[in-house]
Amino acid sequence: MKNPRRFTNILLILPFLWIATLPRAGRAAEDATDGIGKELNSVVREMDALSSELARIEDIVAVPKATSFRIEIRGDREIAPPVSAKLLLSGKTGAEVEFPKGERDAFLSDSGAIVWNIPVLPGTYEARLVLSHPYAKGSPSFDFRPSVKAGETFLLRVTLSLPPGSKAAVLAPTPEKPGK
Amino acid sequence: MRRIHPLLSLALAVILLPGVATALEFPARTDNAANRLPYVVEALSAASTARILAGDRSKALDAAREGIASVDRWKIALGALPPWDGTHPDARRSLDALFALLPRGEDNSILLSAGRTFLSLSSLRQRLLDAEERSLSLERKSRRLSAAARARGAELSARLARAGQIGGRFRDDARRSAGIPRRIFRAADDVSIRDFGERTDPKTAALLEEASEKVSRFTGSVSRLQSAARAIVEWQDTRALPPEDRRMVYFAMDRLARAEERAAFLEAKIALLRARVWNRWKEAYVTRTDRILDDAEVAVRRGEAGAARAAKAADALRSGIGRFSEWEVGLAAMGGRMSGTAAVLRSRRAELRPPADEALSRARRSVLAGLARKEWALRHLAGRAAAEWILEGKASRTGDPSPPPPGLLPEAIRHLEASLPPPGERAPHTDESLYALAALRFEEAFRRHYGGKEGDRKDAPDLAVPTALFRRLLNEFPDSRYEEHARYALASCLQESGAEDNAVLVLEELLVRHPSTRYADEANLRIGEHRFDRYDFPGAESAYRKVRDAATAELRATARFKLGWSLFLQSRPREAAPAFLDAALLSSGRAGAGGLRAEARRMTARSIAEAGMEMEAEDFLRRRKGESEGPAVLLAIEGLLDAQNRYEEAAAVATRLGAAYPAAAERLDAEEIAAAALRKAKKDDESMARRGALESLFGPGTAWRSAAGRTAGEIARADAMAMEGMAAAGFHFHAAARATPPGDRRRVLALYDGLLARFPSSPKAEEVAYQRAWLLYEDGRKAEALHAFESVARRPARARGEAAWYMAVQCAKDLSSPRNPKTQAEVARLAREYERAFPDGERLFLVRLDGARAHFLRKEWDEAALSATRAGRGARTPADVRTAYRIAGEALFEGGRYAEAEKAFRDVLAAGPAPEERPEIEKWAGFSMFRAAERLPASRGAEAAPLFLRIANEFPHLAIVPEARFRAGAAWADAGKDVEAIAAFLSVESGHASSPLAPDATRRLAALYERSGNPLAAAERLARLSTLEGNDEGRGRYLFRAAELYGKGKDGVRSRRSYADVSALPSAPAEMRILALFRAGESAMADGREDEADASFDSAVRLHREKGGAAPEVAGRALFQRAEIRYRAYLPLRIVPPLEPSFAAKQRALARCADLYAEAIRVGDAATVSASFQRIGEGLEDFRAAILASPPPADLSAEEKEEYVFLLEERAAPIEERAVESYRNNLRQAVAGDHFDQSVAKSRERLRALRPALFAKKPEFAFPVVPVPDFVGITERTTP
Repeated sequence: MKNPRRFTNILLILPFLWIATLPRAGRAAEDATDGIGKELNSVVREMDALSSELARIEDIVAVPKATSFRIEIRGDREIAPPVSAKLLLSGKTGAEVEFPKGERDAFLSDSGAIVWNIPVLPGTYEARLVLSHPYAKGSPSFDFRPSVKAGETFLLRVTLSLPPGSKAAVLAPTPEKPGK
Repeated sequence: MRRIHPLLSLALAVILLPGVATALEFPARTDNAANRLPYVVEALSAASTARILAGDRSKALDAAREGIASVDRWKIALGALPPWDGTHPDARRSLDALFALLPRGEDNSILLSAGRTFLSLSSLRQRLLDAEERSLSLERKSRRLSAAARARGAELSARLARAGQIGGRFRDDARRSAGIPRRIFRAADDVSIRDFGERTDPKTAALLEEASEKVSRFTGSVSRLQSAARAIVEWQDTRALPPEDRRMVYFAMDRLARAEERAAFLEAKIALLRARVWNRWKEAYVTRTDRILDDAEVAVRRGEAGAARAAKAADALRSGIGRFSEWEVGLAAMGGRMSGTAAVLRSRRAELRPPADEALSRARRSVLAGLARKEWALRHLAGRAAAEWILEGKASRTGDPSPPPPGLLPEAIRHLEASLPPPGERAPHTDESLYALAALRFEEAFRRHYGGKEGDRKDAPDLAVPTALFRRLLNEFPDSRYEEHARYALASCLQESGAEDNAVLVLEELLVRHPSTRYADEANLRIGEHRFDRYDFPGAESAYRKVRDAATAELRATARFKLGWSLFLQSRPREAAPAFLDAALLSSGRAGAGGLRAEARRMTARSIAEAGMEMEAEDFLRRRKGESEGPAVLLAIEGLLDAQNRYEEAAAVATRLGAAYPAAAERLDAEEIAAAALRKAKKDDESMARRGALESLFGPGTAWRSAAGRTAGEIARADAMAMEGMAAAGFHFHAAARATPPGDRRRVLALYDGLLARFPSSPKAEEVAYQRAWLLYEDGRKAEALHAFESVARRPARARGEAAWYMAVQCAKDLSSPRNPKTQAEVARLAREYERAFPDGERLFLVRLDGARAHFLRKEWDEAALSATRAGRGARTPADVRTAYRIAGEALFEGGRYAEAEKAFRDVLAAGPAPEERPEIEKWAGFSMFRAAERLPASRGAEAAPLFLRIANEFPHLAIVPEARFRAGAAWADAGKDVEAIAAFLSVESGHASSPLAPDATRRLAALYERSGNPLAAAERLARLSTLEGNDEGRGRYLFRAAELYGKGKDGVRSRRSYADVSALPSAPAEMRILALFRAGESAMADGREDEADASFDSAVRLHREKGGAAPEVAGRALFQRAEIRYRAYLPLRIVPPLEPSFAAKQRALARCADLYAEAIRVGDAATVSASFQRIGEGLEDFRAAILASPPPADLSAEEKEEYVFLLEERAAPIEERAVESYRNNLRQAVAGDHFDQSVAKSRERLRALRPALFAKKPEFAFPVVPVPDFVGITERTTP
């Protein structure tokens, strides 16, 4: 070793090199393990969700009873009827429909309403009703939290209206009339 | 030449031996080493000699003792010299020490010669010792080096073994490492990837397993549900479902299909993940095995290198071990040779030791001989000083008078014996030591014999040792200056030893050798004594008369006394009297005379009496100048006369003595003897009079008391005699006055008063005061006597306290009156005092009884009871017990403490009272119990009742027994104990029928029987009580209640009889009589006797009418009951063919009851009215039903039968209308009278049934409207 200073520098650098390299190798191995573990965990969780749904299907199969949401959509004044509707259950599309002309015409009559029956499995849901309206820039929607048991029908009455001075249609629950 | 010889020896020694040269310096150096003891001893010896000559024995003894102690220290120093240790320096030291300890003035030639020899021998031994030590040192060094070489060799051997072990281990490591790759490859073949993964990565393995299991289970469930759903669809033909439900089945099938698809996707994903995981596990396994294989290869190389290094080290160690072994052998041989040389030298040195020791011993013995001579001289000085001190009794001849200390005698003997040289040697002080030693041994023998006590002893002291020592002195040193003294001392020893004849011979030889010896008078006295003892009275008289007047007073007195005896025994009393008187006079004023003077006086008196000169004794004494002995001689003469029974002459001598010597102290004895002599002469009065007058002879103000030289002791004795004399005289004349009254009571009182005034605190004062109080009591002066007794009782000595207090109580009792509470209080106070002062007094019972009576008279009940009870506890006879407890009982009763009073009276009964007294006590006991029970409140009836009953049981003859039983019943009733109460009242009712309490008992019994469910017995008592009533109303009330109770007891006959008796009482209230008839009817009805009942009801109605409507309500009910009897007869009647008569009979029957019901409606109260209306309605309905139910005649055709029925209905319709009317009337009157009962209710029911349109309308109710809340959504539920 002709240059002692160079040797000293190498000795000083060596520990840092060792510190810098060793964790990288270790982290790579750990990442690999964690990645597979995460994937396996997600598979297990998804299997658990499917098992839960299967249990509810089993209830229906054992004693078949009509279990559904009944959504009645009314219009305020002369607002145009919606074209289609989508029901999101826990963030996923649970049902979807395009209203035929007959129903849309009925919507325009004085006491008419669009009625949408959706069969569902028993349980509690985080639900969102989204309508497609010809005039609206955005789709009017309404969030609700239904809970149904086997043989029950959850009735939702909503009114589609256009607030004064606004071009965005609003979907709101229909108030009950007292005495009925 | 004697001086030159040691010097020559010393010079030679200096030349021959280096150590001897220093011997010249011995004396100078050794003085200090011996602490200068030789000089000290010499000085102390001189000092002791000088002090003895000066007469100072104490200091001489101290100096001699100190000298002896120094000699002892000297000896100790000599003995404590350390033994010679065999070295030359120590030899010089030993010799120095011996020189230092040699006494001054002693011959030192022997010591010098021995010292020189000793020093030369020790020097030679020192040289041999040095050579020996050098040899031994070399031997030790050789052996140490040899041992070191051996240890080093052993250490190298251990290292060699260790090198072998290390090499072996290296080889083993290399072999094992070489086998590792093979084992690794075999293990890789055996292990599975799955197991490896479970061990190294358990978390991921578990997740993989869980996901696989879930997919598997899910797939199975989906298949099962799909088949179930399909089954539902296929079964629709047999089990139709509603369309909505069927739609749900399809919906479920759709969801199942979607779930199956999703499960398939997840299963594929799991397979992919499993493959990735397994690859990762394989990679990890390969990496790990590669690293192990590399390590194994490195280990093989390292083991082989280590084994080679170990072999090289072992070779080097073997070479070193060989060299150390050679060194060890050589050094061991050298050590052996050095050891042999040392042994030879040691042997030579040991041979020189005995001659050296012998030389040193010789030197030591010469020093010891000189020391012994010094000690004898000092012992002699100490012994002489101590002997002089002991024999003269003082420490110094002129100065210090201290007596010899205890223990000095044995010390002196020890010194003197130690000062005597051994046989064959002489010392200048030997005769002196022998004399002193003999004298001390004589003293010692006396002390040992008498033990320090004076007095004669029958045996003689053992004086053999001093006798032998005196004889040795006289034999060995006949010309000694101690010869005269030794001879007298020898005579004394012989006399004391009992060899009196030899002693007299030695004394006679002494008088021959030394006629004017200082011991001449004593020798003559002893010779006289010897002859007197052998009855040679004339010879003795001669020897006694040789005692010169110049002799000591003691010798002279003894010689005169023995001379008197010699003459008296020769019957010459007249000559003996002067000799005795001389002896007495010579003994007077001499302290050590002992009893000689008294004996001489007594013999003087006896000689006078023997010579018949007693009447002229005073003259004889005066002539011989013996007045100083006069009172004593006269007193002795009085005693002699008294002993000769010449009492009156003896008393006369006492009188002569008083006249001749008025101030003589002997007068006290003379008066005492005179009083005793008179008593012996049976002249008690004179004797007592003489004793009573002593105060006037010797009391204050008399010549005797004021005489010069009168001592306090004599005065005290005179006072004591006077006090005793007055007391004895007082008691004597008091007793005489009691024996022969009236006596000289004034003289007695004067003597008592005189004594109490003169000697108030004398021991006799209390007794005198007590007797004085008795004197007053006997004279009838009770008030004075009380105070006198109380003052005696309050004296502190209290010998007569108990009797005095008792007598004080008796005086107070005698002075008291029952009507005067103040005097009773005095009695009580004194009784209390007695009890306090003497809680165990002999007369405590009597005093307590007196106190109790006094308290009782003062109406202090508690105090009286307490005192009497205490008296009772201490009573000794049954009569006393009765007396005490009777007083206690009466006091307690009066004080309201009845239970305690009862106990007290029972105590009286237990003590067995007299037959005539017993009833009275029992009466008091019973009264006490009665009062105690009476005092208990009603709430404690259960306690009071037994107490009442106990009176009746225990004292059945008492007049209060009926009342006690009655009160017991009442108490039981209060306590709710009916059975016991009934028994108590029954005992009064049956056992004391004549008692005025009997009716009350019957009344109480009736109530109790009724309460306890025995109505018949109660009714009987009430019936009995009715006979005692004076008016009809009272009788009626008892009988009515009795009838009710009979009825309650199911005795209808007696019940109705009682009711009848009530109704028959003409003056009884009408309502009562009507009600009684009605109740009688009810009773008969209950027994099924309807006729009798109807008659009673009828009588009731009639009486009601007679008395102008006195009891309408009862009358109405009677009418109703009568109607009911008829109604019950009406109901069974049927309308049957032939129709006419049966119809008429039923109609009549209906009319009979209806009339009575109508009458009841008119008379009775609301309940009767409504019941009657209801019954009328029911009767009419029954009649209608009977009509409709009547069978048509048999011979009618069908049409006729139909016509017949039609006719019947026509006839029945008005009857129904009448029934309705009756029911309606009932409702009307009920509404009008605001009355409602069962009959009204029944009427209303019938009206509803008969006229439903009018009376059966249903009510209407309005239902509330429930508001519906504002819901976001509505859940509609279908029925399952």
